[in-house]
Amino acid sequence: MNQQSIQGKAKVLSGAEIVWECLIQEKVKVVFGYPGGSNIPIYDALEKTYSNRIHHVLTRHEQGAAHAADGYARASGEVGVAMATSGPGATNLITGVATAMLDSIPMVCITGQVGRASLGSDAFQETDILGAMIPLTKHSYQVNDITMLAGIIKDAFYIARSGRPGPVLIDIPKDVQNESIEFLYPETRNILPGYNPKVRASEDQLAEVAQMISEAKNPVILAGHGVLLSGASAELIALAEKADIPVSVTLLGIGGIPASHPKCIGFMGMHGAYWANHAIQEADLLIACGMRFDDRVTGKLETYSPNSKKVHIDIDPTELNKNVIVDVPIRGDLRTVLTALLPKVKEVKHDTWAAQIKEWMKISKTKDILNRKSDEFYSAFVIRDLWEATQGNALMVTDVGQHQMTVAQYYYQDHQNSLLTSGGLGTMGYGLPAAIGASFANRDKPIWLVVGDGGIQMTIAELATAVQENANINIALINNGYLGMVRQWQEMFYESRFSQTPISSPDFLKITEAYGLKGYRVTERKDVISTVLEAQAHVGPTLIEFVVEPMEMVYPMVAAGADLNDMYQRPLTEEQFTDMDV
Amino acid sequence: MQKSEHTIVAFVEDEPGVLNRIVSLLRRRNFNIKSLVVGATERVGLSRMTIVTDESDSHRRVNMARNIQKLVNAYTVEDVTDVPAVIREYLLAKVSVSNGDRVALDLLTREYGAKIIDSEEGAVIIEATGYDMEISSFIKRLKSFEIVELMRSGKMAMRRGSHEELKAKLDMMTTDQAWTTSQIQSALQ
Repeated sequence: MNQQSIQGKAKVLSGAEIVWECLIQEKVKVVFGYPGGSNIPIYDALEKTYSNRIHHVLTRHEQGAAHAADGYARASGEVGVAMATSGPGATNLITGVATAMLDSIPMVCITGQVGRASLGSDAFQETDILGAMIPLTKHSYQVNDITMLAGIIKDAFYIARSGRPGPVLIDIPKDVQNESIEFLYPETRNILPGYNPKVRASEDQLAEVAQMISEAKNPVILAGHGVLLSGASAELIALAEKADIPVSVTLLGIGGIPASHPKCIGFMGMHGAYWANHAIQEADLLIACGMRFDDRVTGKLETYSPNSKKVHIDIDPTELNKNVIVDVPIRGDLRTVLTALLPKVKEVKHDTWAAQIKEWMKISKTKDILNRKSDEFYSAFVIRDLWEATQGNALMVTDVGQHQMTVAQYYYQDHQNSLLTSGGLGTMGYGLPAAIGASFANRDKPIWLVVGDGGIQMTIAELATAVQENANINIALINNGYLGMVRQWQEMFYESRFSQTPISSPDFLKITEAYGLKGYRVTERKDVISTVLEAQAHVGPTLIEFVVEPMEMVYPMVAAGADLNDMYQRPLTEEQFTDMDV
Repeated sequence: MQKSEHTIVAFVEDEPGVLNRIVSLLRRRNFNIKSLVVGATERVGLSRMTIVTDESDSHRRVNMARNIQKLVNAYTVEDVTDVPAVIREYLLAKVSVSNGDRVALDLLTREYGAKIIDSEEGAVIIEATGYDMEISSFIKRLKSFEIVELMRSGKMAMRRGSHEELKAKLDMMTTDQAWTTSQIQSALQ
């Protein structure tokens, strides 16, 4: 590390105070955390000096703090900050950090550590959190010298938010928190010689891509999370319009192009749209933008989009040719690359291709559960009506499982950064704390968390956090009495042996009463919209329990390892459907 | 050299824990390390690693180098598998001479350009350097004596020729200059 250049007048501060000063310099407004033996000095400094400048949210578990920081980061576009003590406090952060890592979320986690003299002695509440976090973070630090502290914090924020974002850990021994030093926030950051997030695509590559686009008959754009992270939505839409290319989105790419845009063909992959998967498989050109060909998106790799030429644009070079070998791998910031590409692309029309996709859409719509004649209460109805009641304008947060896929399918998202969901890691328990975190982002939107009866019980203690903070979140609890997604796999692939998937729950109305939030229960479709509107009008946290059909399945579905267009459709006869206008 | 062997040279910051990061990365990405040698270089603060794996897939080879390059502590990575490079190993072997033919051992040692560097209490320690086939061949021949202990160092690699690009790259990266706030901001845009 290099000498910091220092400006202005120095004042003597403790390591703990320096932490807060640096957070203020990084314009941090809210921190999610939990105090303990090894970070008491940091919390003491907060109470003594800084609590009027940074709001601290006490979660009920450190996992909740990490997820809340993640939810805040996704909703605000800022770096989320989580704090925990050493040992169990730090290890409890791990699930939240891994979640943020796989979804490229900018986050800084500050953990207390035992004093330097005790390091390595298996002291009380000592764990090697740095060692544990190395494979799960973008970068990680242990501060063993107070003169390095401010520089490390500055670098950590820079690393977290630049390039492909990700979580950074800063582990601070307690005696470093207690030491004092003249503090001035470094004007310059340390040199990070091997870290160069800024790259430019070559002109040759762009000319080649433009040529491929002009020759393609059946092109498809695959839009991932990179579209949102890079702020490339406008450029992506411009490309889709200019070259008349349908756009399919990944789970985390939802909102990168409005669902209502005529070129948007919806969500791809295991539970993606039938027509989107067919379009990908039949395509002669794929332009993958800021996505990583996850196995949930490709199905069987050997048969994935077999006849297409492939272009892959990503800021992270390790993603190029990792899962799918492409013809043109382009490393670069998506927005920069698309901006440079656009003027080279000729205006073309692909009417036959669009008509073909529409045909696939018609086939699929006949199997849509929304068209089903039934008095049964399906979770898809809840999501569809929630969309209607909120006019598609809610900041949606989900947990993980069937309801998550249902939200992706039926909450037609027109807005950017408006679906918060654990895509890569698939972390149950993510939803509630993430929604609480999102409520601090000051987005002018109602927040709706959709969560299952399994997922909410993993982090249900955060209801107390929501009430303590009077967080303006609305919870749509989809209660089907099962761990539904696993139950679905057991029904389809394990001869309906429902091993450990039936799950009992407490009386959720009593739970809401006990925690002190407003609770409702809905058992029929006719009450969905009115209850949603009533809950949304209430200031502070609310929870609606929707008691739905226990055996509902998410369709369509690609079995793990099957071809992407080899989809299970909803197995129903025509009589079971109402007349449709598709 | 066997074709399935893949050799890269990584230039990394000489900081605590960097080796841990690299090894952890290779394990996590499912690369099998055949040998890894770390040492100091001509520059203060710069460590150099030669990493040999048995990865044979060309895309995965590139992916591995890029993954190491992506670490914040890594300066640059070179794949030396298919370029002219000197790749050498060091060997220490302890051979018992209590019953053996000391003259034959001396001759063998000389034949391979090796050296007896210690001779005490009935055993000698021999050092040898060479490319891996030479070392393997020497070990095979040593087996006619009684080998007490033996260790190969793993490989060190260096590209042949002046290779000015590497020097220029490292010069640029190790220049002692810090970024200003406005440079950081422009990098973020």
